[in-house]
Amino acid sequence: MQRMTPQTEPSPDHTVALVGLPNSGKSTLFNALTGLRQRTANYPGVTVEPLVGRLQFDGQSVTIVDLPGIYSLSPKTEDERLALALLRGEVPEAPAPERLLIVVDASQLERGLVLISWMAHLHRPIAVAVTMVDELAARGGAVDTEELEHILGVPVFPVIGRRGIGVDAIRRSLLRWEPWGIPLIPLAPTASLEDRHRWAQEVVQRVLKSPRPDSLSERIDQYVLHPVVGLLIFAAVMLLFFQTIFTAAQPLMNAIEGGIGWLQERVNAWLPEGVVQDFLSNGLLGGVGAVVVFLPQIMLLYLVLTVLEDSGYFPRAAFLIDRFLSLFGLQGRAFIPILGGFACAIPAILSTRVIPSWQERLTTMLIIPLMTCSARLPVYTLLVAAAIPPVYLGGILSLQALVMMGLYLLGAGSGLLVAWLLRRTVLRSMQTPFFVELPPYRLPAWRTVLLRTWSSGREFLRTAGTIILLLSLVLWTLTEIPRVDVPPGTPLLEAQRLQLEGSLAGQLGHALQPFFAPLGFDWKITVATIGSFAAREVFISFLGQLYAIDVEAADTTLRHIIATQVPLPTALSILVFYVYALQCISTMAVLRKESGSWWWVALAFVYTFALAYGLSFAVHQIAQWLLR
Amino acid sequence: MPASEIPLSHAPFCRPLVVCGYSGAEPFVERFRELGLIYGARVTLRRRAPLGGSIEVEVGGIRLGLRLHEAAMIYVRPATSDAADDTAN
Repeated sequence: MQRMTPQTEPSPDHTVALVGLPNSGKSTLFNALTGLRQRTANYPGVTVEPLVGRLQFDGQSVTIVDLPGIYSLSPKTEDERLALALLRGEVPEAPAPERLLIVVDASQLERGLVLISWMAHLHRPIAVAVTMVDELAARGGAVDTEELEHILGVPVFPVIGRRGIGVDAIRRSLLRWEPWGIPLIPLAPTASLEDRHRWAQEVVQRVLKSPRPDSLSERIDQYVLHPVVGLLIFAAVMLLFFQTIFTAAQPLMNAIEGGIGWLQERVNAWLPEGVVQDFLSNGLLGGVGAVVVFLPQIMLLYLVLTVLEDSGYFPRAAFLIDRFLSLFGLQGRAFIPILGGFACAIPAILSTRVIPSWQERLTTMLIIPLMTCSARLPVYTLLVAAAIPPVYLGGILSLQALVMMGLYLLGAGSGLLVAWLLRRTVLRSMQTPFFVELPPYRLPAWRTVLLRTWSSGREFLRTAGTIILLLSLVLWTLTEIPRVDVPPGTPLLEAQRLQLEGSLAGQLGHALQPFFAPLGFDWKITVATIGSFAAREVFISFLGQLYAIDVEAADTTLRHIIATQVPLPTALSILVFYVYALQCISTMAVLRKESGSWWWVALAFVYTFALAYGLSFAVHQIAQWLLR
Repeated sequence: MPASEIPLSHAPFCRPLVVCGYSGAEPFVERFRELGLIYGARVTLRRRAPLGGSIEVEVGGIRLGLRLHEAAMIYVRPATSDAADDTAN
């Protein structure tokens, strides 16, 4: 693998682009061709990142670019604009592909031929890969690829991407750089879509043995798109999805945390106490842990997402839920990212890539931090248990449970309202219609699923991971500098308290306390809140340190302290603050990466902070007035 | 526009229809046409989305989910019984 930067190191490589309609089986073919030798291309200034893979054999190498799906030569979305700019060689960082491999779904030959007719105007040698020929055969159809080759005057490869059949022939042709051709099409560049379809229909009549209609998908859809049964299935699938990333990831995350903790103990045992030991164990290992701990959720989310997409359920679910989300200016495909946000904002923001329209995708990204992620749960649990009386309304409904549910609803409801507002202001524009294609149901190809899961994890470590690690180290520095002289013989917990109080973070908390005073925060809560801008869980460990108690040994002690020392209005105010505030540097790092600009991160931070501050203030004032 | 031409959003279900016109912003119409909803294309309304708001249509062998107010930009008329050539451009 190497970077595609021809201006700095001229490479004798050939470059070929994969071109196709959305859902034509392009990605499956790309995975079959390149396997693990792929990565996303990072072109400055562009938000959509095509995958780049490499074929290598016997000193020959060919770079393959997997472009976003396109319909014609006139782009309507950000993805299509980028795909066409890359095709035409208008992206300075990326070499123009010398050849095009056009991927055509055998069951949508006509539309595929129309795309070929557009691509012919680019005057680049092409070859055609006809995918999913097995599905066509299963329904009694067939494509005469030799005749198609003859008509178009370019090589045509029949392939079954999911099983890797026919892929070798393409690989060989690429590595030998066999001559491809510019298709012979009797259409002028100005030809209308009607003319193109008429030509395509003539070709189809000559090469296609028509298949029987897809009755299996139709039968399944009678249930999946049924007004009642369909909604039940949707609810069940979403529950399963949620369970997977929420519950199934937990043991893996615990194992990672345990492993990091064990390493930290080793380091603490080997090295003498001091800044070096603390840097290695808390700064570096802690930072690495903060990155790696997200991997299980990210990879599981991608696993489920790929299965949902490849099986054909995802577009149906989007079709089903679109009406609800359209009320808030979002579209059906946004439900997966939003739901994912309840587990963790990081994989959720990454998964917004399923939304084709840039404005809708950005809106979805910006509201995901308002979904109650699992990191808020320890803070909620602690404060609710400490501050809300354990009474049962009417003898059944637990008040604590009601407050918890209220916090979840408050976050989700506010998120949707913010989306509505954003879509009517900063992120208005709506130049493309909403539509979903409902493809036939298929069994997911496990190879593709595992490859995508694996690459998603690797991508996260490579890109966001480095920013997260860096920011974690900055935060560690803030709590460790300047060193506080602790008198010898001070108990460990007391020493930790003195260090935190005297550190830059502690000083910052003291300095900012007047600003947070209207919310009812004392300086200890202010320091803990500042600390939790790194990650929300830090709130508990900071509060523990500030009260000089061992949180892990006795969580109940902290609960008791909060119950006795933190008044109810303040506890409620903290809870509301945590519903809204974007307190997670990892989320900000991923948001920067996916939105392409720190400006969007700034917007997300400022709007969530404004909501957090304003509503906490209101809640504190109202609660104080009510309890007077 | 002749009385037999109706917006796709208001067309009857499960009847053979033919696309015969558009009204709406250029990019929208362009995209619908690229999806196969060209002049003369045969289209069938399949079902309403379970929560409403959208419809499923079949055109050129593919199935599409479209929002109702966007489907209203496409005009259709009942297909004539002879399958010969409905193309009218």
